[in-house]
Amino acid sequence: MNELSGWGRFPKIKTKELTPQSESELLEILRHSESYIPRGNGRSYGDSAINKDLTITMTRMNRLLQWNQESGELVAESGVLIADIIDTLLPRGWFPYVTPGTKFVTLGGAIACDVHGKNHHKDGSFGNFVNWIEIFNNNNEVVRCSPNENSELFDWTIGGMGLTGVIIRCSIQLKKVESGWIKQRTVVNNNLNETLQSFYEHKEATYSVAWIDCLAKGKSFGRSILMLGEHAHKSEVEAKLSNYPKRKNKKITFPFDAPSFLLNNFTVSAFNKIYFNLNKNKQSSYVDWDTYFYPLDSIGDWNRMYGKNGFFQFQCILPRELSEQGYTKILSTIQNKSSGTFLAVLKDFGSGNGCLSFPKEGLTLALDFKASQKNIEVGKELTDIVKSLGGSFYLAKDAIMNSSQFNNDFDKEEFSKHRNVAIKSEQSIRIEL
Amino acid sequence: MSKNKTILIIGAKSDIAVAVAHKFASEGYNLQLAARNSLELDAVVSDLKIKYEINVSAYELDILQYETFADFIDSLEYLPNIALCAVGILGNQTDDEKCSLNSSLVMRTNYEGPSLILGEIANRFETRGSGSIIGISSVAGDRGRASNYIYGSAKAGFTSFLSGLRNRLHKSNVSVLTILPGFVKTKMTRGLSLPKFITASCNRWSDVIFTNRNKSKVVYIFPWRIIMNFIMHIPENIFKKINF
Repeated sequence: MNELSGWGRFPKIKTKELTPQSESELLEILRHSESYIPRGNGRSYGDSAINKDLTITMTRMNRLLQWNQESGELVAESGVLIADIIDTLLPRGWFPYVTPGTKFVTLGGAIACDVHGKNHHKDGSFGNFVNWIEIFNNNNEVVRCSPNENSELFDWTIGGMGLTGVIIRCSIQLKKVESGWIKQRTVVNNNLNETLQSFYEHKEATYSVAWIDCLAKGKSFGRSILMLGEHAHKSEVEAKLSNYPKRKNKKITFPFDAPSFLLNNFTVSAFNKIYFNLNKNKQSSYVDWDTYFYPLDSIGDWNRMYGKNGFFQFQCILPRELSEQGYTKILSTIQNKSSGTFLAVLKDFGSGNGCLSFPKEGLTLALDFKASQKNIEVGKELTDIVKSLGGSFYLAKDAIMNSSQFNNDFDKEEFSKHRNVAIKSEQSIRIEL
Repeated sequence: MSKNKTILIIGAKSDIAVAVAHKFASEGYNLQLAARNSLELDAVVSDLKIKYEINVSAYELDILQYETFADFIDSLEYLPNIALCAVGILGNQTDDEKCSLNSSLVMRTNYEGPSLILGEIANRFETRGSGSIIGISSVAGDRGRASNYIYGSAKAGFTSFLSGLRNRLHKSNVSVLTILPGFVKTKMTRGLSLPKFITASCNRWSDVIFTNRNKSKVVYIFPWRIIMNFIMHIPENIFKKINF
């Protein structure tokens, strides 16, 4: 027995963990198991990749199988990390079309959570660039599904939290890039209205995301810094720099669990003020891909910052027309309950895909909370606000929702045709998915 | 740069072997991978080819079929610069001690097979006048213990074989490297609870093996030489009473 948790280190659950190395070993396990969940690299935050009876970690099935340098099509096992793909293929001019905020996610996890990046408003989510998936389905067979073949299974698998079957391998499309550099510029927004407007004004940017100071009050309420990015052309890269820079070595690793009093409203508020003022005067600049897409990856085990009890994330989406009203309410709730959230990120989404996928047209907000009883109450309150406005939640981050809060606005009969009943996570049991 | 050199890895499915393959490939070596049920190596082969853009070939080899060894070596496209043997099985001491056939399998897999194949290759290297032999043995071979002496005795034989081979080939241009891992986190030790600070990763070992690839010596990773030195110097009348 092993104690496992998601990246938030909350909740922690005892389970048996197996890590098969080959398809035959995996199938042997699956055929003899009545209750299990597949798990990637454990970077979803809550309990979506833990099953009390058996958790099957796929990180040793991590081999690249086929690569086409001309077309950019990659076939790989589901335990391959985005980091491995970038290390190998960026020097040859290819980059993932969609990447979440950490490069340490597996392909299987990226598909199951249908992860999104800073370019969702333009390119959509990870599932948009999946050519096909091979999956151990509810009939105990390995089948291939794609937008043209077993397309319903494909649609339920994209964003399906692994519940349709274990993803064994897949084919994805990469994006041709001229360099590993991103041209970045920042736009300062002085209040919530400006913030929301600013996404609309810069919708042509390839990458955009706003860091929002959720503790600023009064006329600065909802102030933010919108960060825009474009892949730099080869000609823009300074001659003395490598066109395809390598990944940054970890600068520091969080060596211990931070004492939990360190993160309080005063320190967080001070951090936010400093961060806002530092970025306010930044001009446009070129940054390497690792710094731009994965700023937190350079701090090893940064999840220890929240102390030994861990933290939880809250990420919701609100329809665009209700965003201002909804986020005003959400930010005021945080300020009044004084919970100190360290990272607050706002991002607009284009249209979504996949039956259970999180991203859909609207604005999404992601918040971190130290896991404490008080904050869990605040999280539940926020959940109710979002729910009342017709919003929904990102299952890859959830650790606290109950079944009535889960937006179960999908065709359950259709889903049950594709769901593999042996697959359950602590989350799927909790929200009755 | 070590471009165009080749390493033959026998027992290529083991975790240390795969780590070694990645390390040498990343340094520009071409790879010859030999294993039983070598079809299971397909994914590893394609992964290595894509990641490092080198030549990788896979060969079928059963370490217990001694009579096939000569043909196997002849079947290699060319004689490699380095031959490494990572074959090994831990067995299950308490079951195996009650069954001679099981014990024999552990002994043959850990001692006879690896020694005979490396011996055969060493002869070819000697004729050619160059080459490096690398054998992955174990600290378990340094002194027999109740909990794993069947495995340990076979590894002792292998360690001894490598020592003699190194001695014999000292004046030729062929090096013999003995690798003596202590605890390593691999599928062989899965399920065992290993003390963290004396447990090495496969990547640590593959780096050490690469650094010492052309050396003729015995390699431990800190602090295992000290630990084994201590264990070997416990007087037998005390040692026999210790339960480990």
